[in-house]
Amino acid sequence: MSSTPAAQLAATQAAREFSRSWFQDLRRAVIEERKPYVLSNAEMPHEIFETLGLPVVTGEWWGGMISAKQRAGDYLDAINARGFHKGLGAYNTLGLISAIVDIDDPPWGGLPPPALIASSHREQSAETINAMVAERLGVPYCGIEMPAAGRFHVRWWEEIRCNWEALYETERIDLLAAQYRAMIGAAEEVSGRRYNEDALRRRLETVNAQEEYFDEARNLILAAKRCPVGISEQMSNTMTAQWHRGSEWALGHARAFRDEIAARVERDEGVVTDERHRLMWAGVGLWQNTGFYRAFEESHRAVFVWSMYLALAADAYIKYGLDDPVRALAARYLHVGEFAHAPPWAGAWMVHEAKRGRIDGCVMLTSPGQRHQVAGNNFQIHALEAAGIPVLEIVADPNDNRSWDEAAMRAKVSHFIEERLNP
Amino acid sequence: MRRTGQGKALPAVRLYDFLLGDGLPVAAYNRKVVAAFTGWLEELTGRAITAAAKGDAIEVVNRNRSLLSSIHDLRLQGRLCGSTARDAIAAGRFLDPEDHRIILSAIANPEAGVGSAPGLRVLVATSASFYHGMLHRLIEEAGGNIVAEDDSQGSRFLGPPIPPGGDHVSRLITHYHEHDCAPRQVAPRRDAWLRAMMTHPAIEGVIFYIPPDDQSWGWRYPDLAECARAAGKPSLLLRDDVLSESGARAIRSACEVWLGTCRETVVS
Repeated sequence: MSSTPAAQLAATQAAREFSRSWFQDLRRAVIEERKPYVLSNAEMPHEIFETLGLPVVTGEWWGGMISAKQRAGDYLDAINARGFHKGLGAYNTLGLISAIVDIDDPPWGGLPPPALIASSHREQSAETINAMVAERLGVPYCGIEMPAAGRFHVRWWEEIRCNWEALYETERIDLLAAQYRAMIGAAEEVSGRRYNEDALRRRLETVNAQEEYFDEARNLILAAKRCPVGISEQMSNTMTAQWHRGSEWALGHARAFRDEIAARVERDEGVVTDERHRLMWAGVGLWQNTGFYRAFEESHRAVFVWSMYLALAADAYIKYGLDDPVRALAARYLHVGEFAHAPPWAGAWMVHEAKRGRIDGCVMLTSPGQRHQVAGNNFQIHALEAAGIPVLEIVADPNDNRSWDEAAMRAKVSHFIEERLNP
Repeated sequence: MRRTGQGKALPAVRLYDFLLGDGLPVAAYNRKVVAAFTGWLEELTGRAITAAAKGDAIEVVNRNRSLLSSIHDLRLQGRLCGSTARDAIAAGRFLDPEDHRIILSAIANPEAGVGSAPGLRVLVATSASFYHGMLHRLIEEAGGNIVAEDDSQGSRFLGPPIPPGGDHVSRLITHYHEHDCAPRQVAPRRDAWLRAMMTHPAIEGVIFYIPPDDQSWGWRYPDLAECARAAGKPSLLLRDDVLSESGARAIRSACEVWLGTCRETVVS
């Protein structure tokens, strides 16, 4: 007999507690012991820094945390007052800019000063803002140039784990790997340690094992009769482990997450007992309002089953063949952001995932401040609609809650469910 | 898609992925990109691109670069109005270099007296691309004259002459890597020209034109505004879109007030 789980997953609470205590430890080590750490964007090989003993704070994670605490507006007001206009996107920058402005009572005490800033230059303003923040803080900056794809293998998820050298083009991998090796030199200077390739290989083997658990979790969720865990918990569990990927904690957490989901599926527990509509969330997370995903469970028996975060962990990170671990990392980052946003990869993948998960409709977040990501949205909408999956596009900033209209957004999604998903 | 009419098929679209970052790996990658592009052009045209042909092409465009340098000097002296200069420079985006030289020669001649402009000499830093002359004309009507603009359709077009020496491909790669003013140019190279212009004695004011659709240039604004202030140059921030009727009205009004204040300051 089906039922509704009584509470959040134990893993969710564990992830929350881990994040907080990890950050407090880091903050204490940086401030009291002057230990170095790296502030990096998400699409970077954090494992290299970790093996050199340099902890990594991911800018997007820290920005999301600020947003979830409803403090994004405080930081954004502060930088607007310093002459940075309101049209500059917050998603990729909020964590970073929090390092150069002070607000009263910052979340978790605020970001301590990093010893190194690193970023890939995928988005147009990435070099501008990262270099500017590094200059203001007086710390070195490592920027990584991203070569564009010359060919397009649409069903990339079928090739990515084993055939990545051919999939990503050798010359492009060469370029990224060479830049990573140059970056290792800069990181060695900051850490005072020597790079060890065996240590990196071991770390990536652990990453593969971690992502295999996430792959199983994703498959369980999509195949289950009812969605056993909502996307808010999927996101927080996946991404907390992802920001520490390859650590023993992250491996154990991914396993515990998988086990709890398997148990719920075994007990036939669903987020909504009499599930009627299965939705997917396209685009980045709505970090300023993570409760929004659950707003339609009671009223419409509609549950968000899928977001890109767990699916990307499963499909984009596993790389077998680690003879040269730096090349394997280069192959990972040539496309990892584009898989979820750019045509032709994103649309084909989302249709594939939607079919597996018996998805009825898609809500797509378009953030005007992220032109590099939303430029592909029309292609994704076309791909999903052509596959018989209705799409609702909502326009909002994922981090900046200053112009969020809860009632209007709820009405919009409700109308979509009622008009386009009801038989 | 069905083709109608007769004619040659368009060649396949080709990616030209020239990167502007620093470091030897990027330089090596750019060489491969340029070599592959050269091979593609040779295949497309059926002609080998010889070293001599590359050298000749650089010399042809270098003559235009020298004319652009003269035009730049004339503008800074207030002897050429910005809208005329921009129209002439931007024509190089679609004209053959030899045809473009005729136009550049005409306005680079100090005796020709083309479009003399007495207005306050203004430098423009912008997130926009000046594929139109709307802002230039509007500022002239308000009593100013744009004498330099940080844009590839204005003062930054083609960059300075490419110096002699070395193999031609290396000369081209170095030139475009160092002097391209694209949004993805790295910070020190991207802003060096603008910072130098702000301190140029001929510049009497700086306009920052950042239309509403900007999502990245604005990260540069506070530091560059501070640079103008440190150089003792008055500055004006314009956030309206000159291509809209209401935006143009607002910009004209703001410019009239600002230029009036600047003139009073210069006189006093």
